[in-house]
Amino acid sequence: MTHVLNIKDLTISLAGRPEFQLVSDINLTIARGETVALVGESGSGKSMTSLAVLGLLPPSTAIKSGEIAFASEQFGQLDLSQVPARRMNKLRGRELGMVFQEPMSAFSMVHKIGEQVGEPLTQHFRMKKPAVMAKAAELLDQVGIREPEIAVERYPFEFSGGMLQRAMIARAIACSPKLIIADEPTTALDVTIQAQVLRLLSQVQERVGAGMLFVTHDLAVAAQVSDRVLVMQNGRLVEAGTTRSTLRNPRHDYTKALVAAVPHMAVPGRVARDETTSHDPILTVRDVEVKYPGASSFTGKKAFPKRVLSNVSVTMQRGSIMGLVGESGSGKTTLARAVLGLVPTTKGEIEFHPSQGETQTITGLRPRALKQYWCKAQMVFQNPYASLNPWQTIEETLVEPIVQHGLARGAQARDRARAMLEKCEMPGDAMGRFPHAFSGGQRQRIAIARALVVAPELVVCDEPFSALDVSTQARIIALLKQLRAELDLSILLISHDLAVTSSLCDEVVVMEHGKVVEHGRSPEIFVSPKARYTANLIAAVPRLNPYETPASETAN
Amino acid sequence: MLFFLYKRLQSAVVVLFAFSFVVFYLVQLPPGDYADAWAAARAAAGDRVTPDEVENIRQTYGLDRPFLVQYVSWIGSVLTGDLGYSFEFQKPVSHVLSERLPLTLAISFGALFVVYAVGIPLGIYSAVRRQSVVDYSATFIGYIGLATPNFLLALILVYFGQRWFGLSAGGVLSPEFLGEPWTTAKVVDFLTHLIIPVLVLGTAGTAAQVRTMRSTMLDELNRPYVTSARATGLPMRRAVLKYPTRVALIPIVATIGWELTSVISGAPIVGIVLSLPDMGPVFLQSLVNQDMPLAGSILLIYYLLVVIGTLISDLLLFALDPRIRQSVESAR
Repeated sequence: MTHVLNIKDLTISLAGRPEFQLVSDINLTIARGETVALVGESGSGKSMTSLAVLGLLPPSTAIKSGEIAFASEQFGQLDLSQVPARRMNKLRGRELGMVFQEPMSAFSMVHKIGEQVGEPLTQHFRMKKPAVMAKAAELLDQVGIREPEIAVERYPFEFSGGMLQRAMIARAIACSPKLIIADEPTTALDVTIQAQVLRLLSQVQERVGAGMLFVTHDLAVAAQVSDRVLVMQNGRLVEAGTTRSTLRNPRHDYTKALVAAVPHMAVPGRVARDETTSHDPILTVRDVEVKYPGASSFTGKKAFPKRVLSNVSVTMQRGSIMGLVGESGSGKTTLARAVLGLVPTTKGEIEFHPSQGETQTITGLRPRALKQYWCKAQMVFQNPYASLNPWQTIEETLVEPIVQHGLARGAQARDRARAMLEKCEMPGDAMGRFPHAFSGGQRQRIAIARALVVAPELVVCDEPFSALDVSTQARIIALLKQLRAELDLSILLISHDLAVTSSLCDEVVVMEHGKVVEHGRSPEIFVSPKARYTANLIAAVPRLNPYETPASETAN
Repeated sequence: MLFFLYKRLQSAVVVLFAFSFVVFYLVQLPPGDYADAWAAARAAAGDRVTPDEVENIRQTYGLDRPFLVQYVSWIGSVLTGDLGYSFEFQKPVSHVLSERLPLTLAISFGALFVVYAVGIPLGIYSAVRRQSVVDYSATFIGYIGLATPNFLLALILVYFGQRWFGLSAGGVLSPEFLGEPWTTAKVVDFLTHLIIPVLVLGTAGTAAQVRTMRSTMLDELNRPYVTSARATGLPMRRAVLKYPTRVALIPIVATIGWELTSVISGAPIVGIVLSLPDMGPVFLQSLVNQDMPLAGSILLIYYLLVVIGTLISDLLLFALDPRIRQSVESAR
């Protein structure tokens, strides 16, 4: 078997400081038509390795030693670590196709889709614009984008994330590359779209007969697509083998931990939680509808209003964790925002029942009353990199809500903030530092501490794990469970990850197109879903053992 | 697109009217009128002025009529294309301006050209080659340019221009060309005289554009779409010029209107300091003497230029950013 790619003892270090090794002694081979998954947490060096193959390492880093052998069509056997820039430009996009992580940011928003997808053709075959657009439309057609002739004339901001990722794949295969490198290509997408994109990637790879290097932090995704798996930790390979055997019998401790951290879908027969959760609701949502008006203009005309939620009714019990699942666009975030009074509702009522005091109607609450309500209901946001103010120390971030809600001042407020930070398993000395000093998981802990510091009864968590690695995710889940018990919290958890939801929630609400399609207790709803939509969602979840339960059978 | 243009022109006309009224009001605001200013000037020259003479002037120019009547008669004649008669110069305003407007336009647009032709490429270069000699020099010279008042910069440049390059100070033509027909030599002479005013007017703006371009470029260069464009095989230079540059140009283009404003409002002072026969000195004089037809016309021309600048900036934004195109189209 001839190798398309053969990495030998690759070591990457900081530029000018060879003692700081980011990636050490990586060995990796990929044959034609083979898919190799490179798995590890963020910071393990897996993306670095893939960028080194493309010759696109950031300028602060450099290849220290090793060889990246590539069987080029144009130039024969090459060592990519030694190829001059000019020749590298002839390889990128033509023989090396790359699919990036976040399709929304990997496309320029101000250039047409067709122009960007056709860029490799312009570059390598000197094709003229009309020809490029025609070929781009053909490529978009191949990746399943409807009306490709119209799509090429559109701009990325008019596309959904899933469509953009398809377009990105189309660009990667534009010149029928010998090697496709996919760096977390589905991390930014929700489950059903992920399943489609993964299938598409495997199909196109087969069609062009390329080898594929698939970088991911998600073992379950790796299990779905790859023939072999390489596990990286702290810049080193710790385990390598066929996907099947590695995931069944992980040998290295780190791999074992990764396998264990993969959230499992609920299995029948699991101990049901105590049924005594009495009927003591904390939140009642009754026939809620939310309409967004179309963009209004200075001419006074309005576009069609868009209905995002229609007739949603949900009751949430005190002390429970309720999951809100659905694809993006299903209205789950809108519902959560409406619960916090952040979105005006057009119909229906939302009531909050505090443990002491009277029931409060949230819909139509005035700003001053809303502020008081936010002392009882708080939110944890999706992206801890964006939700913490980079110019505020952790102390300022945590003390602000305490002071704002008039709960304490000065030293008292600081003590309270520190206590909550420690409860979220962060060291107290983190108080004086800025968010950039912390990892994603630590930041999410800080964000949780910020939400809990005013002692709310209800916490809305909007995809709190989706920006985190699997193992970090597992630790944050454990933290949430623990905090719930300690602080007697009720948690409304928005997630597109059904595995997480099934392991964490007592009850689950499934949403589609702004409607509730199913509502039930957590283990049961996953074991015997009633709605077809729920069944499709469940089927799309990548599993560690795809050999036994083919995941995609019911998905389409 | 045409609809958008139409809307913009429509609102420009409305604002133009409002502006003309404010202008007229403001010029009238100081106590006294042209007749008083004229009398004061004569008295200062040692002449004896009788109250009858002053009243005579006032009646000739219609300054005794109520404010609104004066305004309506002025704006009415402006609309028919007659800018009025300058009290001070004893000539129609259009004659006074036609000698001077071309020079003002040449200097202003020359300065604007320098601002963008130097500012944008230098900004890109400073961002791509961060912390290089060019980057530091641009920053250093830029801060000096921003911090030095225009009139001072004008004096400094006049001094060094004459000392080092033998450029004559002030005016737009060397004495030997005055009254001569336009020959190549005269054109060259004219252009060399423009160098200093254009530099003076353009330096601050250039420095500001370099800063803006550099910082937005730095932001954009680190975006994933640049790496992803390079992954298609685009060489560094082409990738930079094609993708992030276009995004980074958006804030630059959006402020063309302001830039034109600042260039134009800076122009009179430079014209006065360098004693150029452009609109600057005339403008000052007309305000001092409350020569309403002249002052009002000049202000209206300045405003028209700003409106044109804003319009150009809107059209360029339209071409540059599809998101703006779409929001305008969906707003119809």
